[in-house]
Amino acid sequence: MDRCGDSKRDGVAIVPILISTALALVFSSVFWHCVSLLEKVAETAPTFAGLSSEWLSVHIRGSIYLIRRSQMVIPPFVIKPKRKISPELVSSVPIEILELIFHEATWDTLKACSLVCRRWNYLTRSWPAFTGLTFVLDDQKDRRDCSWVAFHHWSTLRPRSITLVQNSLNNGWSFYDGLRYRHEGFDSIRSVRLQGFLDHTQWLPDRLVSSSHIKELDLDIQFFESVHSLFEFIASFEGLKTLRIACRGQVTTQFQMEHLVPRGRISPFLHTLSFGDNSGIFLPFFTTWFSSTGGLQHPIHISMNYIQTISDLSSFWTLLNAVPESLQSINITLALSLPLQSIPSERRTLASLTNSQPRHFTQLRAVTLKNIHPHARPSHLSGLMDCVFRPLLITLASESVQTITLSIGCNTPSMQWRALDEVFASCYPNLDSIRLRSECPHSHNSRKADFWQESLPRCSMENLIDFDTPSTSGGTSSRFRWFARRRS
Amino acid sequence: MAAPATQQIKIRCNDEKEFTVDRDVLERSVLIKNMLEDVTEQQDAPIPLPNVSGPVMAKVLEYCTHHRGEPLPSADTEQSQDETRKRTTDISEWDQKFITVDQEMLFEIILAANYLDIKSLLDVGCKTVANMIKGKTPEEIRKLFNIVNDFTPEEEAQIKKENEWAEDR
Repeated sequence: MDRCGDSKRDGVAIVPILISTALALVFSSVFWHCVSLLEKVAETAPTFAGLSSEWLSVHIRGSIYLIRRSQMVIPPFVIKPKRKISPELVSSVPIEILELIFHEATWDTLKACSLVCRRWNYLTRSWPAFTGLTFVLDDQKDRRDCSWVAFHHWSTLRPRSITLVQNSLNNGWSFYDGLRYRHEGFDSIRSVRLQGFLDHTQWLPDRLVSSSHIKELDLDIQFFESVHSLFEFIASFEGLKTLRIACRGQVTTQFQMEHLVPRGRISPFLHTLSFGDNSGIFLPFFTTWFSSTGGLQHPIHISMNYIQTISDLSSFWTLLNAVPESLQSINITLALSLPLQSIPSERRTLASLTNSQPRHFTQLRAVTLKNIHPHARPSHLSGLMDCVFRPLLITLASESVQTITLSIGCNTPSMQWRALDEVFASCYPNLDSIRLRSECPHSHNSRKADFWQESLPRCSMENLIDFDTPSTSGGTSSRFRWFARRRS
Repeated sequence: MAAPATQQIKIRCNDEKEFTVDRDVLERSVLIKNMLEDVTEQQDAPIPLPNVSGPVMAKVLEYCTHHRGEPLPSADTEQSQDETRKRTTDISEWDQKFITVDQEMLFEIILAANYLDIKSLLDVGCKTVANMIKGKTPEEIRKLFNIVNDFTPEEEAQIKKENEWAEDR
């Protein structure tokens, strides 16, 4: 009995505990529900602004809604007006923006977009990927990308440029759709870019190679078996205006200079010639070719990128002898990382090189000299300025030059600039502007002005354009033209 | 002389709404930046922006304020970006939250970014629209953007036929 009475008493004692626990749980859940509700309300909390006696504008989560005051019978944040976009707004979106949107799209999305309306259909057809086609020949999984689709609609798309890439020698071309079997649709192509281990002679259709419509050729020359085949290939583009040469890998064949019997002439319309990565070893062949065939007839722009050795610079210097006097611009990018001043042999080569002026270019308008190591130590930059930049500028001296662009390095000592100042004054009497790319060690405008006035005292401030300089507000300015302004 | 970092600039939108903003925030816009560079003396008159409304400008300024101080793409990098543009639909978390607006506002932001020449904002807007249409059928896209189908049935059939080969492969 006692035990029974005890258990009853225990039971009675447990009930309030259970009730209080249950109540605590309920209150806790209600409390957290309220907290989350308050958070939601805070997130969507509207702000009101009266527009007129009739209308009220309500800002909710960055959107603005107009509500009649008389209709505000319920809390405005409960109203979820879903604005339908007006057809006029979408049709007013400029073509270039739609193109940006389509640029982000995959082929499947693009296909759906082409069926939305006539305007979208037109834009998807003239999408950049369709007008500029890229075929990566060893990557069969890309077969369904836009370029492959475009390839199948070749005749209707009329592509303007074509890029062919073969990344590996071992991966044979199983391109059974057969670019080389195409006999039409090449008339629209103006630009051809060939990269990698591509056997141009075997895979490119004759109709493409012999097309006089092609004005621009970007050529990776690593796969050519001989200089003859290379020059024959280039000469086959009869209407070429721009030629870019680079060697983006190891040269597989040793070219023999003494066996070169140049055949074919480069296009008489060529006006832009650019040599890129690792093309230094080919320069003597081009020099011989141009000299012996009387190539390069037009006034041209010539550029040599990534000169890594003095020997390459020497070859380029020799090539300039085969360039017509009517050369209009010259652009040299140096990748010399040596401390030139400490290597006598290199200095001697450079001295003999720069003492032999290639020829006087009577129509030269612009000279651009760049160093790709702008943050090198002051001593290195001094060597570069002493041995290369200043002698180059002296030998290229011409009254016709109007613009000189320099990118040497912000650690270039001030005394080097003063020496250059004399060169500007004595060799370039008609210089209109000197463009300096982040050359000044100071970022603040007043200090910058003082620096240049001290370093280039003979140059007037109106002639200096300092660009790509950090702005005073902390960010970087893409084009800072303060020095270009004329002072009133 | 360039202005100090704290200089305040006034702008006026097409609905007469005026904003006074730090210069470096406004310089996210290449259009305004060029305008400011062309003005040699400090002027009190607000810069008129006839193609942008107040509410849209408020959103644009929210974006510019968040991204103030970040480097602007230079002309060179812009070109290389265009050339090797990666087809990515990645948008940062903040940008994603920022651009979660109704469609009308989204397109107005895109138009404003285009007018004001704020490339990064334009990219965010275009990527958002690209994400919205991703995986949708033509009919769903039309419904989404309230676009009228102006194809004749024959034209539609012809386009489908042209695209058909891709389905087979």
